[in-house]
Amino acid sequence: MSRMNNTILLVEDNPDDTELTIMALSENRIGNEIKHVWDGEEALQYLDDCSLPSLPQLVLLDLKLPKISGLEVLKQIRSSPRTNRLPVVVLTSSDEDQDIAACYDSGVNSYIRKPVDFDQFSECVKQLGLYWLVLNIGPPEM
Amino acid sequence: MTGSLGTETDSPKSATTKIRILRAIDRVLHDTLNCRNAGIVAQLCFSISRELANSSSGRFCDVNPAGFRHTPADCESCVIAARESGPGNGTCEEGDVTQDSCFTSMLKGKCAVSNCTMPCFTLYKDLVLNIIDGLAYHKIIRDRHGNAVDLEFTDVNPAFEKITGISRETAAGRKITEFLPGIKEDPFDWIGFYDQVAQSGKAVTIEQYSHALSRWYQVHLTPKDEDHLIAIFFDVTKLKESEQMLKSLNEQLELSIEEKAQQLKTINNELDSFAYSISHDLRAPLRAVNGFSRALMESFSDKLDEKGQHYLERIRLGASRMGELIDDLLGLSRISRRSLKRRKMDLGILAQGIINELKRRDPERCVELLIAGNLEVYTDMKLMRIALTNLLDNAWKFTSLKQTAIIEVSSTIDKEGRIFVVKDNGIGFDMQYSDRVFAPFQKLHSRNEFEGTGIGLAIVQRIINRHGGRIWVQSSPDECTAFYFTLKNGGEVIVSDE
Repeated sequence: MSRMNNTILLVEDNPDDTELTIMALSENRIGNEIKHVWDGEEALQYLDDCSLPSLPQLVLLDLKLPKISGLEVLKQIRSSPRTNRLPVVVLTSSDEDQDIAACYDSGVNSYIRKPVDFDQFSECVKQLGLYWLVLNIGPPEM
Repeated sequence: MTGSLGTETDSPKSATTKIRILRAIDRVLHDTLNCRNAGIVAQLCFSISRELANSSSGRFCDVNPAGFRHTPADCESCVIAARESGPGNGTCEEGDVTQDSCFTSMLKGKCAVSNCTMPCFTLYKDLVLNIIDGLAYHKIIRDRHGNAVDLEFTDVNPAFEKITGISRETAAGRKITEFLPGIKEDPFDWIGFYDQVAQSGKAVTIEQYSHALSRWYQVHLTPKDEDHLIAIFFDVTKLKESEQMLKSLNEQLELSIEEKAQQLKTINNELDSFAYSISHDLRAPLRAVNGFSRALMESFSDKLDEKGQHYLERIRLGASRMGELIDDLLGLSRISRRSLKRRKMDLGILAQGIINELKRRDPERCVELLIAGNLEVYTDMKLMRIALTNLLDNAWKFTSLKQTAIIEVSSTIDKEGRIFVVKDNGIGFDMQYSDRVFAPFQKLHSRNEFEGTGIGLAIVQRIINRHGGRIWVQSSPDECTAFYFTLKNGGEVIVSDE
């Protein structure tokens, strides 16, 4: 496992959701750098890029993505020794049992369904930030 | 017969003549079968034979060659058949097998059936001529190595003509390859099979298609010896055609059922992907409407007056509510898609747990819960929990204006079987609206009075239906509401169920 910095990798194809997520992060004073990519392929490329000084602290992953799906991105993250311990939170609209089960089977750390109401969404992002960026102790450097 | 027709000193030529005469007599016999009195037939034969003996029989034969219906071999087989047919014809001895004595014996022979005075020959001939089954006497024709190469139709009956469309003149005494050359092309080896049966000595019945005649026949073969056999048969083409039609209809039906099942599967898959798409795609724009309205309100509140802010708030609430409705619809569709996982459970214990949770959330309320014992059922735990939660949520909600709310969970038995009851002393409703209670998003009370989207009872009804039961309601305003539901087999465990 490479050393991690405090970047959040946001994998989201919907510009509205992207903006709302960044808005919610900022209004909850989560000052981490945010790297946003539009699809699964781009996400894997970013993670694979060897010139990166380190991996992100957290991946916020949408499931329904163009090119490579969120589930496939998760599987590939878990299958590489470089990224297999990376905290990945799925942030999606779906609460279908099959999606939830598939994500847990593929080793997701947390599964969050985006609420429609922005107040709830903002609260959700706040809790996420507090838990994964402050409380949670990430994987050790290798 | 008279002695003039057959003596042992006859020359070969005169014997041949006599044989011809006998054939003529036989033909007459055949043609006069309608004479009820056998004596008349016999007399007729004698007179004709005398007549022929005194005339030029050769000329008679030349003039009427088609009148000969029997070959000498056939005549012989008649005698054998008569001898074997029973004790009543015992006059035909081994040594009697000569052309004239054969007929004499048959005419003298009496039927084996007691009190029947009809001569055997007439009796059997009557049977053979009138039976509706085709009859044929066969001889296997062999080559010099003993291999069966052809099949002789020694004689056939009138039903044979009718069934096969082949006249007696065409078939009798001839080989099958002569009058039905198509037999050689038939994929079924008729000659070989007949030979096999004759050799085996055992009677068999087969159903076989004749390609030469384009008909199906059921053939019963009785071997007489290794070269002779009797075939009794009838046309089963119509039966076979019906059978084949039935088979093809069945196949079509199976195919169409399979097709329908496939269509249903496709529709189900479409429904699944539709539900998925709703859950994912429709919620995203709602989040945008809600989120950016809020952002607008936060960032530009100084530029919006109270009315403007109120409108933005309404937009946000509308989006949130639509999100709820979408979730409810999804919930409803999930109930239909879920496969039932039945297990033994007690509705009373389940109800107690749900009420405890409601009490925990709303500790101010004074609610009396009455649960009857033994409410054991065999149902899908997850779905029954959803159903009961909806019913008890309603009961909890609509008794909120009562000082002391009473909620009752019990069961009764009537002619329909076991009926489960969830009853409350809440505000109730007018029964004229009872048919709307179970429709999705139908509410009998305004949103301001009581919360909810109106999906709950639609979900309950679907769950009960999925368990093979039905649900109905009885209510009177300001008094009580009682939901009644049944479950398949009264909710009992039935081993063969599902």
